[in-house]
Amino acid sequence: MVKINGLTYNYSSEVQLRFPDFSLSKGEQALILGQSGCGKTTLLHLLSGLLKPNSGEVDVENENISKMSGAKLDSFRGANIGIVFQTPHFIEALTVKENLTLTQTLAGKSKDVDKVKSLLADLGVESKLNSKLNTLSVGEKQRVSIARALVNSPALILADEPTSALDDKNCDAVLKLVREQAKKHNSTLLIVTHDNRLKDQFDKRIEL
Amino acid sequence: MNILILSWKNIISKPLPSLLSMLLLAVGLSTAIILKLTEHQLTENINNTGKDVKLVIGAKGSRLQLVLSSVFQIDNPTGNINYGFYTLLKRNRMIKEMIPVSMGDSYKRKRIVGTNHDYIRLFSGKLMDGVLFEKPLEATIGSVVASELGLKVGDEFVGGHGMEEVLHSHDEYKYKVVGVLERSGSVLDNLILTPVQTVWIMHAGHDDDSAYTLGGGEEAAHEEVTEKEHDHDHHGHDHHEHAEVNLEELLANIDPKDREITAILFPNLSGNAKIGVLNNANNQPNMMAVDPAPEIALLKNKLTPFVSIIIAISWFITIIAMFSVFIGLLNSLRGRKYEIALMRVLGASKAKVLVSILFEGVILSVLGYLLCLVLSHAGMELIGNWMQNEYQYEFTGWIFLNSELTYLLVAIAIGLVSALIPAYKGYNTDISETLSK
Repeated sequence: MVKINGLTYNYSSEVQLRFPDFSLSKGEQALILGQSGCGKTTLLHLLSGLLKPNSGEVDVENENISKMSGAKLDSFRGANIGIVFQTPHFIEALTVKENLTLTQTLAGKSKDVDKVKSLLADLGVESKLNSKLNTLSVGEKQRVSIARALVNSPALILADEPTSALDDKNCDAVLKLVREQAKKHNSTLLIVTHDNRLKDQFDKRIEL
Repeated sequence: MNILILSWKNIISKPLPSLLSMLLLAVGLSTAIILKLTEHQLTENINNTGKDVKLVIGAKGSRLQLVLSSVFQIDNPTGNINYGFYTLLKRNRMIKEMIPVSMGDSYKRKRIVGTNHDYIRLFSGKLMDGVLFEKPLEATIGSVVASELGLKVGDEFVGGHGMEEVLHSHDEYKYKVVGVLERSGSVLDNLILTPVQTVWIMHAGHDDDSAYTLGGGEEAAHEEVTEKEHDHDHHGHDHHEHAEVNLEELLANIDPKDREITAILFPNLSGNAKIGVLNNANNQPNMMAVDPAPEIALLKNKLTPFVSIIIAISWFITIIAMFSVFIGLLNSLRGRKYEIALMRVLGASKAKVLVSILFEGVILSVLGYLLCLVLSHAGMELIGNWMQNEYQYEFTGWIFLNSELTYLLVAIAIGLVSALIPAYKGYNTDISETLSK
């Protein structure tokens, strides 16, 4: 489960962001909506421990990650939080398979190529297993990045504008895949977006 | 997938910049190692060859040249001295051992040295095949001479006048190979040894005097002239009927003033005996006695600045290599900033990122070192072959010095130092800021 409480973040002495409290139960899927510049990405970084809040706390799986630091936080994030970025980035020197197995080992888990293969199959990109990333299309990359976010079956999946760069058809397909896979792995899903196409598809919405 | 493999994949994903860094490092370290290998072998050769010769007597001239020509068989001789002086010294009971050497002729660029058996003993030469020379025109040859020129016991060859380029052939008489020496790693390997009398026979009837030993320049021009005169003379010359000429008779007819040698080497000479011989020789009009040790020390001193320059150049290249590794890593990391942030998001700690970048530097430098081992030893072998033709010493690329291992440490240190700043930058990457861009 995920819970935030009294969370604030100071960009500078003048600009302070204050986030509404909310909590999500295990396996719940929710949307965080807001216009550009209202701190969506900041919230996502606070939720994943990439930023430290000035006050308040973030609980993921009953651990207060705002209090964690250093290598402990890094490995907690690797094992429990999967992130899908707006623009998919990878380690370009590695193949699709190597990127995903690296994700497993960096999270402290053992290499599981079968799991990688079945995930890629679920996402319809199993033929790209041994391809270099620079040979993939944007849509294929986005699917692989979803696979990466799921490969460690994390408790929480954070998606940062996963559909904003996609057309309607791909938007629906990607959204469907993310939701299905989150459900399959029993992961809590939180999508941060300003994309109004997603608005009506989620019961739980948090407006910033 | 561990971090080491990731570092390796990052290196091979940019093959050209990685290769450039490796190559620069390899060239820098190779220069230093080739210098070490040369210095090591040269010192060993000089020590092995020079250590047992306590005094040299030869014609007046450059002291160093006398030592180089008669002990090391490198330079041209300074001139000749009369054999009479040698026989005179022979009567001196204080002198236990003395070795005459007579140079000036060669066969296919291998020097022919007229001497006695003590010369072979001086360098601990052992027979591999056949016997030692006894009579004039008999030759015992070094192992390199045998293998390079394909000579074996029983073969005959015609020697030539001159040491670098043969100015004319002594085709009146043929040398006969009677023995081949084992490889000794000394000057013997590259020499053709024969009694001093052979040299007299070869030059009997020729008008040329001590100047014949000097090649090049004016002397060469002079030789050309004499040669033509000889060719001209030969038509009616008694040399052509010499086939049946008795060598003993011919020898007996050689004027004592034409019996010359190039130098006398004295092993095991010390104390009063040494001082006595030294004074005696230096009082002769056209002679000098030289102690090789200080001359060699002087030569080493003269070489020091050149060695220092080469060392400086090798360090200069190595430092450039270090910058190349540094800039290469920095460049590669600038493009991979997002990847580093990504690794952190995926659970890699700051330390892991630091180590992975340091690994890249170390892998590059270790590969550079391995490449340098290939380059330096292959290079040494090439240079060695060239030097063997120029000097009478065998240089090989196929020896390994313990000090080469210290260059591995140098290489690793270079890799670490050049990766330090890039690694620190990677370590301090602001993930949130990088990912927000």
